Amino acid sequence: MLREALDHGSVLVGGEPGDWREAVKASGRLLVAVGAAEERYVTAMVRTTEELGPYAVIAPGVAIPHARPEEGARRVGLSLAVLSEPVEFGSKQNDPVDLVFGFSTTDSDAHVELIQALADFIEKPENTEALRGASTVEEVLQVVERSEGDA
Amino acid sequence: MILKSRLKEALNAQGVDHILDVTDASAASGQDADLIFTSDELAPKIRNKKAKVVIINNFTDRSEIRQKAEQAVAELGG
Repeated sequence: MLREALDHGSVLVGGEPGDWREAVKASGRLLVAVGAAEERYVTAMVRTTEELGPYAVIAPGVAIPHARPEEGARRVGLSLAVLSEPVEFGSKQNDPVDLVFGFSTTDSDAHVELIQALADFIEKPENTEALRGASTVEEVLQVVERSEGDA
Repeated sequence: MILKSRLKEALNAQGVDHILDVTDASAASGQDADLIFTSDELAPKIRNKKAKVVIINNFTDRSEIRQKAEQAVAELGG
């Protein structure tokens, strides 16, 4: 399920965004690139993260920034920016972040299964470690594919 | 959202009767609840006189959530 949600266009490896804002934007631009969201969704992702603080950081080193469906989401979409330079979101427990999953959905129910699959993926440290060790988009996609093959 | 489904799993596994609601920090402050599960950052913003606030660090980690939910529910009973 995750493997279908991600493709070459929605994954970035080796990003050096400098700060959390740029990291969130990078993950958002990937959603725009694959047609999952409009340009304004990227701005909304940054604003939502500002409002909610480091709430998007859900596990050690992992953030899932998103905005509301009406803020420019076109469909359920997932992107991933693997950062070579981690950034601080202000999360005492889970900073610094180097895996940024951008997320969009058109309604609150459409995304439940995908988010579940993503949470199950992130829960396993061997998955996040393998992503951090990946140096190409192809390797990232293979990590995801392998994890789902095992499930 | 992730936390909600993880909590549901944990509470069902323990056979605890429960109603789960997802709210923001200000709504949670006025919520009539026994327990409020949240992150380290949002916890200080929740001013609920009745509910016990439980901090979850990793929202994807079933064992952390199960353990903390078990303990919190046990303390309620006692």
